[in-house]
Amino acid sequence: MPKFTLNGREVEFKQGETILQVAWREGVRIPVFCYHPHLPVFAGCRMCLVEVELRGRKGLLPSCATQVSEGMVVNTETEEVRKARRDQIEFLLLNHPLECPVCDAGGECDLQNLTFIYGPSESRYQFEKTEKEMVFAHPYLQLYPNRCILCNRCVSFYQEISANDDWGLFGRGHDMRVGPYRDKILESEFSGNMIEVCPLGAITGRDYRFKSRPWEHRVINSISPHDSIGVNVKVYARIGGKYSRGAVVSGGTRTDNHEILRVNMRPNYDVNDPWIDDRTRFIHSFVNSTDRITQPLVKKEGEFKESDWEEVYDTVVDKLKKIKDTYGADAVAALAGGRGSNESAYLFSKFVKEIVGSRNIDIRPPREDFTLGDPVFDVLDGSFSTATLRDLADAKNIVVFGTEIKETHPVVGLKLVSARKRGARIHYFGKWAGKAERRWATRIYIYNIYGEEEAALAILKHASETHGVPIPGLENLSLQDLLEKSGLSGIEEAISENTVFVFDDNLPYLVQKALARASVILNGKFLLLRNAPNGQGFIDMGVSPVIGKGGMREAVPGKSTYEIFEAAKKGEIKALLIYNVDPLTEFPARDEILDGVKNIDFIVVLDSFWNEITGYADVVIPLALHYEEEGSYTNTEGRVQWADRVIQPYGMSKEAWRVFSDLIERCTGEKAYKSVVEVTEEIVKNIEPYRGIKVPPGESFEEPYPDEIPSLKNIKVVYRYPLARYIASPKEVTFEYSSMEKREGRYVLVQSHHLYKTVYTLRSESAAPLIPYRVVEMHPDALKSEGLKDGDSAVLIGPRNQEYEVVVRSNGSIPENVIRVFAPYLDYGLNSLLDFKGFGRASVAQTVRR
Amino acid sequence: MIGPLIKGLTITFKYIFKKKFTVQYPEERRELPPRAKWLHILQRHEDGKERCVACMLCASACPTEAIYIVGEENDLENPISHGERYAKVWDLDLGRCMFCGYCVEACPEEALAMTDEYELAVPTRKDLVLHKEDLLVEPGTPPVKTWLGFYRKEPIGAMPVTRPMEVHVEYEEYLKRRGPREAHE
Amino acid sequence: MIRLEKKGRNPFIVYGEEKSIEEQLRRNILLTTVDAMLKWSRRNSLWPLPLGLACCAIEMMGAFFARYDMARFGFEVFRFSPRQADLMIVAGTVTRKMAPIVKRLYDQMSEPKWVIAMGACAMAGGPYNSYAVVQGVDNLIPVDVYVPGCPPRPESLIYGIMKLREKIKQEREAKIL
Repeated sequence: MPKFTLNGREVEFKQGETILQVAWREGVRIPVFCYHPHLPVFAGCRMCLVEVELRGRKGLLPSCATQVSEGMVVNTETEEVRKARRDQIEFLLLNHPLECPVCDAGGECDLQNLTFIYGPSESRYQFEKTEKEMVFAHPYLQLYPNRCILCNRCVSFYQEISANDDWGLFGRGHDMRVGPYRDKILESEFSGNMIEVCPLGAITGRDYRFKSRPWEHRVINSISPHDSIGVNVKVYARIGGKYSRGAVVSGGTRTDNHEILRVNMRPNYDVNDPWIDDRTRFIHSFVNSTDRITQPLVKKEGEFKESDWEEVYDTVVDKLKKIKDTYGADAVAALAGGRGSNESAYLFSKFVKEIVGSRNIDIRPPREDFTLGDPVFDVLDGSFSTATLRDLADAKNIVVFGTEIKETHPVVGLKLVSARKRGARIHYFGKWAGKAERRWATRIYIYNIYGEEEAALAILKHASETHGVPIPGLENLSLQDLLEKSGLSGIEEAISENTVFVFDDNLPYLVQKALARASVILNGKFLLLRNAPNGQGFIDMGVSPVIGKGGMREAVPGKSTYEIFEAAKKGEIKALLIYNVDPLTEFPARDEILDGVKNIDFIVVLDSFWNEITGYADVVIPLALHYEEEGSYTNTEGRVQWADRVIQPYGMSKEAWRVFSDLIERCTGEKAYKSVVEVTEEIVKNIEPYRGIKVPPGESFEEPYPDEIPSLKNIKVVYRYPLARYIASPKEVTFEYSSMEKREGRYVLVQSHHLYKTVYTLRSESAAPLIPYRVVEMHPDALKSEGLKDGDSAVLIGPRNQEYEVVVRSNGSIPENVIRVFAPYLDYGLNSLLDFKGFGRASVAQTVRR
Repeated sequence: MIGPLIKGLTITFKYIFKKKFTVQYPEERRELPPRAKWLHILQRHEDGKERCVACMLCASACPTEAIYIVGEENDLENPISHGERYAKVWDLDLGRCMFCGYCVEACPEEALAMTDEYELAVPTRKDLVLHKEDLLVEPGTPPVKTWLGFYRKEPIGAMPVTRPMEVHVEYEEYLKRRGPREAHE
Repeated sequence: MIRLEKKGRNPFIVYGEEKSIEEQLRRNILLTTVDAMLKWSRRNSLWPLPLGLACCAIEMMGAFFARYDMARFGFEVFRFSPRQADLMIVAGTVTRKMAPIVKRLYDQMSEPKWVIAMGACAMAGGPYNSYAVVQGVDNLIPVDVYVPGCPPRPESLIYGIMKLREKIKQEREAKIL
């Protein structure tokens, strides 16, 4: 290995390394402002100057941008270097206001720390500091251009990593500043990362404004509850407990510690690098929502009575026993929302499947096609993704099918951006494509609103033709026909050997199955994006009518969600357990579900929030929320991650695993689990893919970044979590194709997702400016023909003359005959217009009236 | 035998005619030294705005963790303090406080000061926690001179928001006495 | 809290709700004057039990000697036997090891009896946020007056004792038993 001299020592280096990297690795401190290990090198702050001597010439060079070469002599601590640093800091402070006491970054500011260590004690500058106006570019971000030292980190992140272009550097010299180009909310869903990237307090988050200081924080490692990527986060809460700062006042403990101050990233190179999406970062006030259920409730004579845990357990166990004895176990059904830890899911499935003995358990939305089974399970004999998020970055050819990545799984978008930067070809197939998709897609294919299945089958057909693998059931269809029906042309480019498919589990059964099969034929991989935050974990734990614990096929399949409600309408379901899901507002076909719900004798709702279904419940059990319980979570690629508890459960609520464990204890007399780790150990013992995983899972290693720079200290400790080991055994599957039923009408209602419209965001008061509350989107031309303007309120009229008040927004990227609505439907009951057959997306005639 | 008796009584009589030694406490209060460190006060600017900007330096300097602060953003129309933030909650737990004065030293805004108010007895433990309302002075109260000028090396003049009053005069005098100094020695 | 009193907040003037005259009569028809006399005599001759556990005890001694001379108020008689004392001044850090002794001394005092917690440690544990220190002597025995300070000045203690006198004066009925 080549060598060079660093501070009089012979040091080895790898070709292409910079002086800074080698020096940090060797424990030599070099201060930086603009350098960030995950961003392109800018070399603008001149803080990392070192003295370099090569071939007789000597001078100061920026170490972050200078590659080491053989025989170089580098000195980092000469008088000249020290003077350069001191003067550089004095220079940076010329226009930097010394308002550390009011600045939010005080205590975790690079400039503060480095001034303390390297800076001069006095300034020679005697003139007025420049004044620049404050910028509000995002409801959650605030930019103070006065404090900015123009290190370009935020711009690098925004333009290179997030691949948006509405934030940049402007002006020259004295007037130079960073900021948004336009007077609009920032486009990127990752803008919050600029807060953490910023070495000082120029960009601060409004959710955390002025609340507290870093030394008051308790930092807990957790996992994002918002999507199934399982973004790693650090959650900051105030130090609580009996003997700690701020918590102790005479006469007792403070009660206002049930608060999450902020959520920051936690680096994990497998999942999220050091970036997280804005939803994860800013949406956390739902833990203190006024909608929280605080007490167990039992309905007596049509009214909820406050109750205690004993009574609730007794009621549930007695009633379920009675129903099981009179009608059989098949009269009991259970639904889950996929929000909750693996431990909760394991005990939930154990309680329903083993103790009650019912197989009617599901986490998917009620859709007729899901009664056919689990699509991926039918292809692979296991329900999991074969690709990991890392595979996306390495893939040469990626097909993203039908998923609004920005709205549901934003972090996947970052991976796709970096894949495109590395030269991958990314093909996006969708009903429409917006600016978010154009950031990473190399080619966009738009299929008809009713042509989704044909488009997927065309991909499969093309794959089977090129590879000579026959597909039973598709012999009669020609590729030309399928393409015509789907409205696509020229998909040949998209399909090649080793393609990685990305699709989500809310797509029609046939689509998921076709894409999974196509990836098998092409020797490729696929990434199945679960829509439920812990969907993969719930499936692994056996919360599925067709899949048992650990991915075994159930001998007698149970009823899917659709079948449960159909059976309930007929009166076959007598008891329903609903765990963390509201079928009336989260699923389509509200009226049909309501018919079923009204027919059920005994409904137990386990949830953290009041919602519509709680009104029909007989027993309401308050559950702790994500940040209030600890446990393992499996992300969509099968990575088993661990989240610690941040705050205590709200009111009388309990963790879900504890509730199920108590119920199991009451039914069987087995001893209840003492801690969540006991359950995890049982999971690791009993669930095949999880076997051998350390409890609790996860390990960390350190990068050699200096401690004295807070923005780098945050990304110093990197976490790693193990993957569950799934075994795929692909087999030949038959396809049954019948074209999708078209709905007549002026407009087609299409179910869609919005980043800021989820069960959690709707409960966060602070998210209010971002939530599309009662919003539907329409094409501008359609708006014009209706005589409406962007932002007008309007009335949608359903086929049975139901009226829905909505706010219309214009969106140029959707087709003209489409009304885009956002699930969940807590704010408008628009899901009563969608029906079971519509794949949650196409529906009946609409007229819009002002 | 009589000798020592007389000797002893001489001292007694000597003291009888001396001025009384006892402080008649409730009626007469001993004047405390100017830097006496007793009950804290939160000061105000001349315009009646609060000085405290909830920087939480006092809370972090406090060795006994007696101070608890929650900051909040000022209403721009009707600000409570100068600057962007103010203390929504400023609690002092007398049950922990040991009147060391580190908080006053830490305060960059000269918002905190200590008075010679030592009569602090309360009947319940709840009353030991003093809130912002209790500690804030009335608008228009003349500022209490803190002892900061003695310790602080750097001028507070760099602070953008506030400019403490008399201490600076004192400091400038000190600078004059000290004479000019090189920026970097 | 003279400053607080000026702000209209005197914690000492919050003694119970007003009872109706009938009830007061039923309670105390014959002994009103006796009560007043009892209370007067008690509050003017409190005999303290000095429980000097740490540095606060030095200031307590200071309060009793000539400079501040608490004899002026009639509570000069330090009694080192709890059976002869009716005011316990807990001055200093109450450690867990000392706690049972404090409790026993309090139990040995004859009724009626009062307790003053002097200094931060005795009030709430003070700077010692530790497993070894009782976080406030009120975890062991009922406290009538808390005197903040670390340690309090002798005047602070005298002020506390005067507040205790006010408290005894305001007691609804003299404890005869």
